[in-house]
Amino acid sequence: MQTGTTRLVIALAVCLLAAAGVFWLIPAQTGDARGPTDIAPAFFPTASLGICLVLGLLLLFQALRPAGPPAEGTASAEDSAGEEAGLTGRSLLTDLGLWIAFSVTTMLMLKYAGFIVTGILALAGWMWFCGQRSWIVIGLTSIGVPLLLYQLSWTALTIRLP
Amino acid sequence: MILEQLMAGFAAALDPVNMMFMAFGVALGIIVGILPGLGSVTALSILIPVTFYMSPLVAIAFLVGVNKGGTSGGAIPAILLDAPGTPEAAATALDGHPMSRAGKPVKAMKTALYSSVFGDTISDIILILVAAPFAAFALQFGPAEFTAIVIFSFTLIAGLSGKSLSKGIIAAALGVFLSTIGLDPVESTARMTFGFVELFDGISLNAVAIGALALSSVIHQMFRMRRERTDGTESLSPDIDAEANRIRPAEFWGNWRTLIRSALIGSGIGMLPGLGVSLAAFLGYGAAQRASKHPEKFGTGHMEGIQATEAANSAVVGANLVPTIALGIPGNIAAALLIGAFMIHGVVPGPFMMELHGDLVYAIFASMLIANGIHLVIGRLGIRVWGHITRVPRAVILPTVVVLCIVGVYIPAQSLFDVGIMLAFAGLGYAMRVTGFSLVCLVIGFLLGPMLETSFRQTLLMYKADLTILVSSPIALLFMLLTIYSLWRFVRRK
Repeated sequence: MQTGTTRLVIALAVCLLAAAGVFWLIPAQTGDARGPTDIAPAFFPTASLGICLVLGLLLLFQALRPAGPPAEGTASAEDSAGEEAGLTGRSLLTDLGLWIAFSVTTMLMLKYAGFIVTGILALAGWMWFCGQRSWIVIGLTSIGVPLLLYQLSWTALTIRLP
Repeated sequence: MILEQLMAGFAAALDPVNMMFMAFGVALGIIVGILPGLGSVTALSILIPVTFYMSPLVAIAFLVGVNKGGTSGGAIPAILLDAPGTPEAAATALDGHPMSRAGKPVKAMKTALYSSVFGDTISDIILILVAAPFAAFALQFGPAEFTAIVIFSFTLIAGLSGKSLSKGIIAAALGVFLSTIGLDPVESTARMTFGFVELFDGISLNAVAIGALALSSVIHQMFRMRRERTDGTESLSPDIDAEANRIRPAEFWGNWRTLIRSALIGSGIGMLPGLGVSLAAFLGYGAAQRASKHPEKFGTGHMEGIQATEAANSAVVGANLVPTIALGIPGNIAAALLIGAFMIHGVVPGPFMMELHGDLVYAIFASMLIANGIHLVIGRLGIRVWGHITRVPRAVILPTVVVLCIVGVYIPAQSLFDVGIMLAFAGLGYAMRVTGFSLVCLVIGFLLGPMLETSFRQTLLMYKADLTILVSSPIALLFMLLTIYSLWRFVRRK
């Protein structure tokens, strides 16, 4: 990740999601039945998201603090935060958008078209995406693998894939 | 006495039919373990009915073989693809995959196999020697002691959080939060289920682990290939230098302390019902890192990291039969399934099992030891085969793993909902991976969250909210002190 803005967005996202969980999701979606010596069912979810919120604020503080260039021989800001070098926030969003589109399409296709069709299209699509350009390899793999898996799961496990 | 019974057990176990089924079980277990999402539990649940017509010894030996193979098989995709086939292999990927990327995939797989067999053998010996007394000791572990163990296990986050501790803690806390979705363990009221019946049992660990660890790694690699516009024919590790992939005995046994420590950790975890294989793997890894003079080498393809993980997770396999055989209490789901298998064959596990079926029990013990030798041979032969996977183009193997993950998560529950959860966690895992949030911490939080909540709330109920039990019970006090010591060491190192 390259920019301070991206880091800020990540910290903000952590804070907002944790706050939404603590102040809206958990109170709205958790019952309050409890025994006399027990803690509330909401205690653990609230405590865990509370920790996320506090540490998210810490990340926010770190992102807002002006950082100078790393001294020679020390880790860069990216490296010290464990982030992937060379990836921008925009490319992350593009990748995630693509993955969400794939996931939604896959779920719909699994439900309405079945595993074999979904598997063939998913395999062919991802192989092409990864740079495989041999249509023989793409064709053989994308047709062979889903058919083999479908047959194997039925023959060996008597489980019909969708 | 034990030796005599064991000799008689060996005589029965060395029957060719028994040996053949053990070998078949180990091979099947390894293959199932390799497929993402399908671990030994799935294999056992599917194969138990198959054993109906076998003799009790052959049936149990076959299933034990499946369990052994399945536990170690998950390490292969973790090493080759950074896509652990089972949650317990996640820690193996931390060092196994970097070693594989450095052109030593065969060495990494050999290390995993040898460590796995070592851990398993130690655990089997412990089972044979101390099954009855240790089972009685394990009964002294109540909710307070479990709470102390789980609190201690949380200190793992410090070592596994990667470069940012705060991000590691956020990931673990998110894991704990996600584990609370479903029915409350005490009051059975719904929490964050949005009315979905599928969520009442909580989010499937299989879907979370395969999505966040395996699939997110695969999509990360695919997106990176696209960004770097790499050639689609590039393979995982094109040139395998035989010399670099050789393991010398001195190199392997140089870490004997780590191997023994991990085997004992795995055996200890296996003997305590409910803690599970994945926790043993992470605890083994964390303990090795803490004890190492070079903790900074962990996560960079360090042999000791693979040894620590594999010896620990495989050591659970034998040890979880301690409470199963001695008390009739399953140590984990695999042991619960084995209890079912015992009962199908007219053997009721429990305090009288040794007395009533001593010959069968010792024949099973002997079979377990023989199965370790078989595991070594089959695993070693398999490495030659899996080594060829590294020559397949990445543009073919990675998309194939995506489809395998879908199948692997669908099969155990036959639920499209779980597939959706896995795809969602793959996206979340990818985002966390590239922004520096530790996925291992997320999974640790998800694993430990329910254990902590259940044991803590049971403690409150049993001791009328008096938490001084955590320091008045000797076992709980020991683990609380270990927690403090572990945190003190971490702070000192920092």
